[in-house]
Amino acid sequence: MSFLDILKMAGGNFLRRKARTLLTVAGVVIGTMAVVIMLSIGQGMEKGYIEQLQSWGSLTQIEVYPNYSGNEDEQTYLNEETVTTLEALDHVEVALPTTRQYGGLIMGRKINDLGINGIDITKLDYYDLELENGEPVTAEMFAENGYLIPYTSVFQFYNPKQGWSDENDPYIYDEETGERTLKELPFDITNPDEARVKMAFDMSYYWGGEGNKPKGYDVRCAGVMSSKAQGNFSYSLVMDMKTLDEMYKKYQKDNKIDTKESDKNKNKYDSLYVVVDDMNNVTDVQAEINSLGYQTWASAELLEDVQEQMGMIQAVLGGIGAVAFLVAAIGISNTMVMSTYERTREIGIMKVLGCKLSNIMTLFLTEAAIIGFAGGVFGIALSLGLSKIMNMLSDSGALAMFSMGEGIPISIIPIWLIVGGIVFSTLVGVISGFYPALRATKLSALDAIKNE
Amino acid sequence: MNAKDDIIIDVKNLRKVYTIGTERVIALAGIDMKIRRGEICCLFGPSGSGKSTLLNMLAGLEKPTTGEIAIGGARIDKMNETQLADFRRNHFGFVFQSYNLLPALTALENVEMPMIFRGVDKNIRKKQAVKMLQYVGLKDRIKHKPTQMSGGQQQRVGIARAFVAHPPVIFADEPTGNLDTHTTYEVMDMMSAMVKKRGSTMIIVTHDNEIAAYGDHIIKIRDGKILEESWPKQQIAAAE
Repeated sequence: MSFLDILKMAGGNFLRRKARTLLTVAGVVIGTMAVVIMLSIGQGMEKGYIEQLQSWGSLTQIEVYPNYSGNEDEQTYLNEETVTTLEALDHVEVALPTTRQYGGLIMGRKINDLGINGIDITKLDYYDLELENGEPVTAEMFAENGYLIPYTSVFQFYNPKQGWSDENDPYIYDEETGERTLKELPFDITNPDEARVKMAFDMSYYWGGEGNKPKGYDVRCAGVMSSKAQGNFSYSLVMDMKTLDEMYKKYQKDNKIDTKESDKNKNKYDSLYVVVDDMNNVTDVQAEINSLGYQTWASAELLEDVQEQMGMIQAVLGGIGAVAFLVAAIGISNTMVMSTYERTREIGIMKVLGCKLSNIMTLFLTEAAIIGFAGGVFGIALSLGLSKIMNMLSDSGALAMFSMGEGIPISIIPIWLIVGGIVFSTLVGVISGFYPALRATKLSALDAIKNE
Repeated sequence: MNAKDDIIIDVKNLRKVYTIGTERVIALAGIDMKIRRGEICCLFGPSGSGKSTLLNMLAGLEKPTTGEIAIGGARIDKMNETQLADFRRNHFGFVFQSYNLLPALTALENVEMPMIFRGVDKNIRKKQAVKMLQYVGLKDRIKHKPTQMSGGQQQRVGIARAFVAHPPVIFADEPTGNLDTHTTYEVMDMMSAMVKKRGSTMIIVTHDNEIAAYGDHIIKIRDGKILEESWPKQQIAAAE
């Protein structure tokens, strides 16, 4: 008996008992939905946590620190050699150095205290810089003492004699709801006619400290960084590290600061990030960097804990859904056992006519598998719909308390869950059909045709 | 070839004992018989004589308690369930008193059934089944379900199903038990003509004298034993 014939026969048997077949399939639909929706909520939670982690720094980045052990021999530094060494490691895409100086901007009588980051503009693409106006950040921007300024920093020019005022707050607060909204930029800082700005390194004069008014150096604002930026570059200026270095040396010379004293510090860079090709390789690369004598931190360290916790939550959620599936499986078994009772005579006739036992077995397993498959397909379709509704409710605020954050859906159904759901329900169908199928093959052919 | 040597069914000392509770019921008490190829053999006797039990055992549907059954040389008493199913599929056709058609299937599909089990190609088996239904006079009932047909029509579908795969042996258990006299003759004529045309062997179980008259070889059974064996047509032929 070919499988096509078995399939045709199985299909015919369903059409004879439409109501019962539909009810059994409905049970599987509910079971599938229970499992899929529960797991999709788990997926949503996991995604929420991962996004939260990412907001603390990219999950593929490792921050590298020198080893301050105090022992001269073991002391390590961050310099060009370090970058070369780290970039030679497997899975490392690039090592991103940053230098840092403290100083500020001077605009007429107003000042703005800021950190200044120097970056390696040959690796510009890796620094994750974004402009508020959406234009790409290019190396040309950093020419002629060009710098980028964070959106909120544009507001923070103040007169040191008067101190901060409301003007320096980049946000407007709604008194009733307490919600804050970002103000529009007060002036175009990139236009030198509108804002004549200079950079200085020692602002202590303005804070009432000793000494002279610092000398301001000519700089050019090339752009305002995105207000949505997070991490290192959301509160400091960004420049080409070469430019920053030259300016700082000039400052040292102008103020007769002993450069030899400061050369003792062999750390050329103030921080160093290593970008790894894949999240899963972070731990290995981290261990390797540690063995080279550096200290490291990666937000991916937290990821493992989160993933472990999420695995447990998913197992619990899936387990709850599985109860509904178990009930559905019993439903399939029940339907198929009933079917063998009703079709005792038919099975008997088939056996007398010499139908192979394996064919009868396959026939019943196929019928059970069809119930499972159909239930799986409809269950997935309805789950996709329900998932969409849940996410819409979450966006509109009705289910916001379950949401992991703005714009993060409550329920996520990935492709593997769709395919897995259908395969699983079909498999459950086959397993549920096993006992009834075995029962059918064991029916006595003679008894079956004897009873009138 | 010597006709006596062409034995298709050879039964030796066949016994069947049922145990019902503590009671032992002897259904067959030592049957020895030989059926020749091409014969129409009637197992003739009243109900309870053991004739149906004998047929079931010849057809491999029931295991003998002791004794041997050889069909075309194959010892079916030694076969397991799977082997018996294979043997039935490839060598036997069945006609039942209550027709035993599959109610969900059409006449055509019912006739196709033995060939479906044999794995015959779809087009070939359809052509054969149509031809067979045409032969039994049901060409215009091909798409009908059993419930839409009279008893006589259903039994003709049953006959078509039994013969369609050209089995060498046909078993018929009270094939006309549910039919009126007119239809009985129609059905019996049809079956015996087919058997003769094909040279196949048919074993009919009956308690009806008129049916027994179709037999070349009549075995009268009573209380699980062979009471009398006769070959009326040979005697007639010899007398003439």
